[in-house]
Amino acid sequence: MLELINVWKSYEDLQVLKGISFKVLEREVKVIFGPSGSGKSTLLRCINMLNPPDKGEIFLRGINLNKPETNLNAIRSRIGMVFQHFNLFAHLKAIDNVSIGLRRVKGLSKEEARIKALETLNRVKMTKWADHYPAQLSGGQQQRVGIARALAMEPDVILFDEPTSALDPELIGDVLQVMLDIAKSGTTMIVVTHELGFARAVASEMIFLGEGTILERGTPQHFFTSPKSERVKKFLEQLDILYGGHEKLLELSNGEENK
Amino acid sequence: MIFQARPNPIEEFLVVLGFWDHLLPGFLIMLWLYGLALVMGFFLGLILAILRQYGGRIFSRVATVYIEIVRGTPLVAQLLLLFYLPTSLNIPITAWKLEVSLTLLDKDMTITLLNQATLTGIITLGLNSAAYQAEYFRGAILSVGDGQIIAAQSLGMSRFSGIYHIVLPQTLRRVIPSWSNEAAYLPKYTVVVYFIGVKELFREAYYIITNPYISANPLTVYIVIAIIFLIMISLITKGLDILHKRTGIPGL
Amino acid sequence: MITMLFQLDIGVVSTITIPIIVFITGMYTMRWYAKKKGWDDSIKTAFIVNIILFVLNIPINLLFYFLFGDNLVTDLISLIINIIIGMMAVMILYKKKFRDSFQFVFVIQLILFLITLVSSFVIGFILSLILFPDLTFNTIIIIWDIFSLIIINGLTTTLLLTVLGLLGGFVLGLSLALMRVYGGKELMWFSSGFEKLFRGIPILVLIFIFAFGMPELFWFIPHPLNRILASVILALALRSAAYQSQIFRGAILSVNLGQMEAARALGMSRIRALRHIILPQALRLAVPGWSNEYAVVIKDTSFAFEVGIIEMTKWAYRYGTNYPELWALSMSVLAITYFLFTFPVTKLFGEKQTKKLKALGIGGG
Repeated sequence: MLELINVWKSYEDLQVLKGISFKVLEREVKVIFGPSGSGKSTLLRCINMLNPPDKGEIFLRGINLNKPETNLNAIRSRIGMVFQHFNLFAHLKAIDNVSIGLRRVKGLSKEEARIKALETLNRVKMTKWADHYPAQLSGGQQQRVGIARALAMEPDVILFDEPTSALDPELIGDVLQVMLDIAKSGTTMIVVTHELGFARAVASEMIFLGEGTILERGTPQHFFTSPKSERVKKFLEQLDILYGGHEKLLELSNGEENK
Repeated sequence: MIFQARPNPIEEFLVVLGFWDHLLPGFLIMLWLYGLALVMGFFLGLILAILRQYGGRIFSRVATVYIEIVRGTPLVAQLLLLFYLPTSLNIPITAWKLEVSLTLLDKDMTITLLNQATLTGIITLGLNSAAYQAEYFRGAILSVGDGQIIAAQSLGMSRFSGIYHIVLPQTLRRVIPSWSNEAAYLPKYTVVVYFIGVKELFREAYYIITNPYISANPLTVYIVIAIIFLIMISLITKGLDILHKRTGIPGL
Repeated sequence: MITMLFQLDIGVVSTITIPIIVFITGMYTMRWYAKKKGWDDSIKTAFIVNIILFVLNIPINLLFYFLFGDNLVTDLISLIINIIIGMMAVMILYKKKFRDSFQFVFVIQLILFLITLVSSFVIGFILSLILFPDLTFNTIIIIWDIFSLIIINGLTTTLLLTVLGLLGGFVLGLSLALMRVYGGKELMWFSSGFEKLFRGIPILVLIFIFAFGMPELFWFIPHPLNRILASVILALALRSAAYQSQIFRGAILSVNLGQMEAARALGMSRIRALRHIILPQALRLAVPGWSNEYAVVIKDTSFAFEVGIIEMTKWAYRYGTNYPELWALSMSVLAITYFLFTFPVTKLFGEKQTKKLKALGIGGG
């Protein structure tokens, strides 16, 4: 349904993406992970053409996004995006944040938009806070509204750009729960994240992006039982330590002492 | 020592106030100039700021050049330039005017709302104020952050729609503190048009002082004018402050 | 548009060259714009559209001109008809819908208008250079004349006023700021009141108050003109002090809070800490605001000519009264002169400084 063919992108002199190609089928959940600076955010912004790629092509349901005559605004209304720093519209209440896209882009009437927005807020369990402003919500709550905002547009695919990286640990759970729910209900998702627990639960395929290329790809089982490249192994180890794998940490410090 | 020559300051003060039938039209003209210039500066300044931020290379440069030049040159030079421009181009100036008369307490007053000089004054003040207001708006637009317009575009809004529906409302709320600065102090600058003959407050004062049939201490007259400005500016500042508090949105 | 061409006394040459230039640039602009929007980008289509516009518009414009005379209304009507014809041509030849065609034609018309304006000036200038070299050469000499007149005669006084005004403002303003940040309640009130007072009075009124309202103020200065000079400087200094006080207050407050704490913890007295730790940083933080204040003061000196001080503006004014045709020119030269003194300073010491300072870790509350 969504296809990337040989996408290249550079910033100034730096080649950030070097020939990325993959396909995403309907109802798939793709998880992209890897070290920072490997171009993951850039990749997402290429997909919805906020930052068009230098070379390569992107197809959404057969429509070539790189052709000048494509109506990018219409395309973007079919690709949802959830941001690391939420980017909620600060001057609008939660419910208006969700409904503004419906009203201004999809042309729904005020009433219809409001009903749909409430429905979507319900899905992310934020109905109680519909009339609150973003500044009155916690990070996790804001992100859930952000997800609702993207969801309400009924897009073909939703892109998640490290949705939980800016959240306090206690708040991550709620957001991941919502993401799990919508994944299970069949939404096509491309998620850039470090939350491998999430990946293990719902990912159809995981892609490891390093230095601008796809270093390895496969099912979650593949990665967690027998990753092929050393790079990936090392990365997974580091993540393990980060998320509380004490044994590994002790091993390392013991090793240092014995030197 | 300075006050030696004025045995009764209160008397002097009352004499000056006796000329309220000259001071009032002057005051009204000042308000008129101030209001029009502020509004003109608001819309033009907003457009300039948006062009500067979102205009693309050419328009952005044009806006910047305009702002830098207007802010880098004295108001007097701008005023005289615009006023004498027709003379330089050999376009004759017709003595046209738009007047309003009113009678209050048995005194007839005519207020010239528009004539060549007044129009030039309004345009100069407006163009000048626009450049300064553009800087305030620019600061406010920058403080909104570009995440907002990226989010708007990710929903499928056009750039224009994003600017109009998302960035602009936030900009207008964020700019209120610094904009109040410009709005409150703009009346001060209307004084400059006295030089080209507009009968605003300061010119009326000048008339009172130079009138051979009236003896009024110049100092008292100037001080009265100064006090009028002070009061006006304080009122505007207070008013805008209250407005700022009333329209607060949590988080903005 | 057409009548403008006939009025240019430069001759038939310009009447022919300008439409040709507009046509050719219009054609290429149309192709560029069409390409940008992803439409048909052949030069042939652009050519055809432009020919149609040209051929159809000129007779219609001339018709209106002869029927109704040359004024704003006919210009407007011609413009509207041009747009309508243009839209129809675009709709047919580029095969686009109503809304797209309208936007296309609108933008092209705008661009063409600007091109016509610019090219008529440029061609006029070049032609007058060729045909009447003396005239343009003369203009350049006149500009240089005015410029040197202003600078040689007025610059010293202007700079004198600026420097003394800023200096007075600095001393007074810094004291007021310190009063307000570190002083007791009374000092705060005084400082606050001072600020409000001298920010709320127009500078011109302030100048008049001291120059003509209190002529005996500087009784110890023999020459009456110098007394006026002193009054102007006083007015400038007081006003500047009120603004500088705010600049310094802001700068002092944005020095990291931890700095004072750390200094006291080392055992420095408040005053010591102020002198060695806070003020150096505060003064550096105040640079951008201060460069702005410098620009304000030098521009304010232009009001001095209205009370008889002979500085730059007075000279430009004199020139204008003597040669009324050159008013606009002399005022422009005056404006540019001031600009040369303000722009480099504010650019050099402005925003970039703030960024550099933040990078060094100074400032940021």
